[in-house]
Amino acid sequence: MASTKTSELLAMHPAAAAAEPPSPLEREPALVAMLAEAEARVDGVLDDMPEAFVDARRLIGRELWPLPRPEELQTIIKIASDKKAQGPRRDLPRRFLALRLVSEQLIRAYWDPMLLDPGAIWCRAEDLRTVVEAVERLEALLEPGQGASSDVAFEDRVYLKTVARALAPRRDLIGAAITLAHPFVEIMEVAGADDVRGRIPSLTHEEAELLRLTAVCAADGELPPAAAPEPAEDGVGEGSEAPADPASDPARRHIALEVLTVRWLIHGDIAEWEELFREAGQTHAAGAHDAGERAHGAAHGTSPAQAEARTPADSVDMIAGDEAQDDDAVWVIDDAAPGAESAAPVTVGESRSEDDADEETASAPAAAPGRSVALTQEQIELRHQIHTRALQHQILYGVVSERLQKIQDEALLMRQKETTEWLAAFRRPLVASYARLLTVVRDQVPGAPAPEARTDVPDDEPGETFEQIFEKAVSDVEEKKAADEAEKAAVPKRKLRRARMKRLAVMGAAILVLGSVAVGVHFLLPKPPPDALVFSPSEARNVISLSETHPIGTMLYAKLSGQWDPFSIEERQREIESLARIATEHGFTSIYLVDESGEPLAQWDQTNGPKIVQHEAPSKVPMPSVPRP
Amino acid sequence: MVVAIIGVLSAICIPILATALLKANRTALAADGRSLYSAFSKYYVDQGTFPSTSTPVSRAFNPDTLAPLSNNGYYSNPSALTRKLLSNRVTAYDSPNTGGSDTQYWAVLTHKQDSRVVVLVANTDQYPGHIGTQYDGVYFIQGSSIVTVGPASAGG
Repeated sequence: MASTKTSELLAMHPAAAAAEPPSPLEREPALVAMLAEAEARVDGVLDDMPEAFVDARRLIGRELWPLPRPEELQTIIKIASDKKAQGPRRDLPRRFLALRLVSEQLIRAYWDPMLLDPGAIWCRAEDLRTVVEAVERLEALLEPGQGASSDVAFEDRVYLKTVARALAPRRDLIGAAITLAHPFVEIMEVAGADDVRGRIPSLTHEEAELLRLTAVCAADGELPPAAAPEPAEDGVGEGSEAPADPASDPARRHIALEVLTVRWLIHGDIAEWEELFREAGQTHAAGAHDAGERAHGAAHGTSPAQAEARTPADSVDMIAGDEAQDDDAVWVIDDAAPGAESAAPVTVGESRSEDDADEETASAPAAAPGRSVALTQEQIELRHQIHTRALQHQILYGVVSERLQKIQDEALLMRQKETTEWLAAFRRPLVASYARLLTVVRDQVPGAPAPEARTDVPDDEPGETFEQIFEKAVSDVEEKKAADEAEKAAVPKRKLRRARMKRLAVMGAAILVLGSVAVGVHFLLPKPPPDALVFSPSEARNVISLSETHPIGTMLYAKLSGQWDPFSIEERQREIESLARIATEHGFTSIYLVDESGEPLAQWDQTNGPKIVQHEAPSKVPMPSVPRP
Repeated sequence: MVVAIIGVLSAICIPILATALLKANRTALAADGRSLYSAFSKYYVDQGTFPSTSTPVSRAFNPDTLAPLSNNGYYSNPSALTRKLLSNRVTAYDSPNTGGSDTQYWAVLTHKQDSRVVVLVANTDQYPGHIGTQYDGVYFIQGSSIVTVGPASAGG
């Protein structure tokens, strides 16, 4: 099946087709070419997708974009494995993937640290905007009731939405790029102007110097992007080859200019925010009496006391009702009333979520007590605009701050102290500006202290250097150690000694008691019998031939293995006495000598000496009575 | 300190355990000795004589099978006794043939696990080393002394 081109797919959107040219991409031939190339690459990757996950990840990282997220990997592998898909189910995922690939290339191109050409910056930001529009138009095809194509089946729509979510371009980077582009270009254009401080009131000394250097470089035509030396990743050169002046490196100058731009934008927000509330305060002061009366119950026939007892939501409803009746009515936000500050924007604003409202309710008690601010309808809309802009600038701050931190960390790793300090000089005011922007982000009245529980603490202290942070950490540890020692020292030594003595006494008593029990047991238990005596037949082999010996108490029960009858009585007595001598040495007191059948042959004991047994019946049949070995 | 306490506890527990084990072995072997003594007594009542040492062969005592006590129903299940004995057999047996009538006997049993536990089953005054002393019943042999097991040992 021949694949459908993106422009054709986008043309399937009837509303879009009727209102304007089918695809915004068509306005940009370069982008169309880029997309066609991306589509070809995507087709190649999907066709060659290996079965092994590890190999697939390697291929995707190499051919599409580095370090894809797990859900992106799974989605791409799923698309590749769905080989039987046809129509939109086949083509739309490939288009999403191609657009994502183009967006990745454009993001990389835009955030190139060597890019200092205003025209190129502007064009790339516009390209990003175009790609986002194209993605949104594709996503619109999947929304029922918004011109969804009849070619997309319902079950395919669910699948395609999942694919679209997983492969969506990185909106934070794109949004930050679009937000940053125009003011960045503007700053570069006014860099050499005489009244630069008048145009950019937020300038610090370092930033002014940076602008001067930028203007000189632009005038001399130095370091054009194409001719610039190839930078290492993120634009930081090798430590050994780093320029002596950090500002002479275009990559560092770029990030510093970004910081400068972000601060300019943030200061614009803060200035507008403060100006808005200053005007509102003046307006409110002029008409406080009449507005107060109307707002607090005169029109509703309630007393001021009753009006004060109302909840913030009641107040807002009441004021909104007034406005409907009276064109001159104003929105009154009383900071002294908990939640009142948030009430008006919640009623008017359309983009505020319930969470935001909760946040406002939490922050309101921290507002300056007794101060009232009155906003007209125009001021409310302006407030909403500034707040929305501040939220965009907050995202921009996050992106730029992360880039700056990365470059600063790399400089620190390469022990480029001068560069680190130079970058820190830009970072400190940036963090300080962001801390001030939080008032606008939280939609708070200027001057109201941030609620303690909701304070967004910047991840860096503006006024501290690396050495100060290190010294502080070391001193904290030392202080903790000293506090522990002081705590130990606070306990009286006598008390410690007494406790130790008490422990020793308890253990000593335990040993004493147990020892007594052990002695008692030793004496109470009956004495065990003495160990059995031991005698081996081989010990008597020089005297008499024995086959077995058995100690029975102190009696040696021995079995003769050799001849006995040929010996005379005297010889037999000598043999048994010789055996008795040896046995006595082993502790025996008597001997009982038997033949192989167990018949007694002789006896010996210490009292009576040897006794030879005379057999009356010589024809006895031998019968063993002792064990054989 | 802890080591000292553990040592004292060991000094208490180990002798108690060893004594209990010895006592159990002695009690078990004494019970077996009483059964054997009873069998000898029944045999003597029926036959008018005790099993001989080797002759005559028809009534010679076999220390492995306990014949002729086991053959004629005087002692049932002899292997239950012999498997508890050292070398699985009666250590020594003799019927002092005074007058050729086998009217006396003595047998020695040694415990398999603890060779200090030795039991004498006897009806004789001819036990070697104690000639002239009448032994009739079951006794423990402890070194050179022979002590009675208890009231159950009397009889014959």
